[in-house]
Amino acid sequence: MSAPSQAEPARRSARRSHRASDEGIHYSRWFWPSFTIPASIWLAILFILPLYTVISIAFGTVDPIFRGPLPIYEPWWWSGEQFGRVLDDSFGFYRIVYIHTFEYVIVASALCLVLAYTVAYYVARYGGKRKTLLLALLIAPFFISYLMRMLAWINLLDSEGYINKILTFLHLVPHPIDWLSGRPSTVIMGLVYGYIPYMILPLYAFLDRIDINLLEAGRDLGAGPARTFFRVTLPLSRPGILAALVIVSLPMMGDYYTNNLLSGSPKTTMLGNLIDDAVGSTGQGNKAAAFVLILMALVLIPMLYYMRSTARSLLTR
Amino acid sequence: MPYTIYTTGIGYRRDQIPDEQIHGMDNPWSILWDPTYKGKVGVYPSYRDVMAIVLMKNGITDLNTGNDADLEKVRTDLLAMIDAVDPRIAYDASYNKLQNDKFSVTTAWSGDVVAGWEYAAPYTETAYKGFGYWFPADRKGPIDNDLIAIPKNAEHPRLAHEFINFWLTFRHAMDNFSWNGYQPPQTKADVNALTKTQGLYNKQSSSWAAPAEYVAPWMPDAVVRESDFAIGYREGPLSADVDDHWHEIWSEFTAGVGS
Repeated sequence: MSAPSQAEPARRSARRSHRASDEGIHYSRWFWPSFTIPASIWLAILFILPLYTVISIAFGTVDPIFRGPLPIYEPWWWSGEQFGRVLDDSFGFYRIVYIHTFEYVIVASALCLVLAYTVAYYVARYGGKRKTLLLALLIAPFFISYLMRMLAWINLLDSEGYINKILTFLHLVPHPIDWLSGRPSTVIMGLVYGYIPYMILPLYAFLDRIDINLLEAGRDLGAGPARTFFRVTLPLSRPGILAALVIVSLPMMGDYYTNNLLSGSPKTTMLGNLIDDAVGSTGQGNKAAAFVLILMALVLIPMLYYMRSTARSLLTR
Repeated sequence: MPYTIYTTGIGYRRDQIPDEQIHGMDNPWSILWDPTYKGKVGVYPSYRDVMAIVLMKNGITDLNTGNDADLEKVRTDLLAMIDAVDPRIAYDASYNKLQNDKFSVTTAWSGDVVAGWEYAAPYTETAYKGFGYWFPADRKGPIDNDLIAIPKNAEHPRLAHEFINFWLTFRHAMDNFSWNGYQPPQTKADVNALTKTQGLYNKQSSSWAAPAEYVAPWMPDAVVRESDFAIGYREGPLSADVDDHWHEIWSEFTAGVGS
């Protein structure tokens, strides 16, 4: 085993120097890795340190007088009491919240995928000269804040709002629908509306990169349009689908204001609402941090699946 | 220094719940559980105030109770509320959603309801008279105050005191009250004065045909009396264990347990 392991770095070094000498440029071995330094510092300051603080709060204590969270930074003094209690309750009365969250996120992500894929497919394949315009229109929702778009929906979905006016005018419903009465369907609709732009763009980027010759090859080999789509386009766009699903489903898991604004009913409470409630309640900071860690663990599962799938697809190229 | 004083009672739409109805009930607190108003009952996202109302409904006047039996009643009633009326949790329950007919009945701070006319579109007399406030006639209910404090290490303590003196002046306190609805602790500001005197801001807004009085004459219950502080019940600090117990019950409610 020792011989190959010693030979490998030498081979790599030779390949590098060969390539560099081919290009007539010689780089230090630290040149390319140094490009990651700014991002590494950024991540260390704005992600790792805050994350460690959250962990220190989750396993920390509470100020006995003001009831604010007191982070404990030394792991040997950590207490798992609060975290354990939140974990226990997660299998107890909070279970319904987890179920709601997963239901809403899965359904909303699936709807986003269906709607976004068709739009992205059209723009990538048939956008033609209007592709830039269509892309600009797809980006347009980003110009308005998420909060404002949700507030607009409150007026649109109101019992006297435009949606109900149109539905009743067309006699599609006998009387106005009370959309804002704590309906899960309204929360899901809000999530789809809010996050769909984030799904269209990565899907478009992947679909646009698919080599048209591969599609023509499929047709030449006798496959019809549907078969070509399912046997060529869809498999090739799989990494894009996974990336888009990850991009929208992860923030959806922690979303709380969509539910707050469009429902407000305890019957549609999501995991993000629990965190929001705990953050705003005296003495509950540790609980909020514990929820954050549990949420992170939950979203890590689809993230790991995405990373594994991406790594596999890179290996097969 | 006490800055504003308020009670916690029930805000209601007078076109759906006539004054006589709520005032004639044996236990008006229980109207928040009435299935007639399902989907149109609001509660504040404030565990202390909402749970205090549940305690009041059960005739428990210790709003800082740590008694397990008392808190079990609160738990049972809160979860029953979800099944009975599917309540909505909202901070603007009594100054916006009530006025705009999103809610029929809601937990309410008196100051929110007093200021509610500013949100009562389309600003007609009917809209202004559309909402009311109930608080026990014997004044035995939750009462509290907000305050202004000067930090021990304040950089300009003299200026801070001047500022407080400014707010203590009757005229300025009342001008502030006329637009924000939260009553200043002024002894001259009694029920008679507040429901019959025109406020500065209200006068300025007269083009809206707003109620000109500081407090709409049909909701005298919303005026806080000096004597209320001797009669009413106040929320105080809870010990860590008791506070955790309260939070646990509130968490079950906000998680939708019972649905």
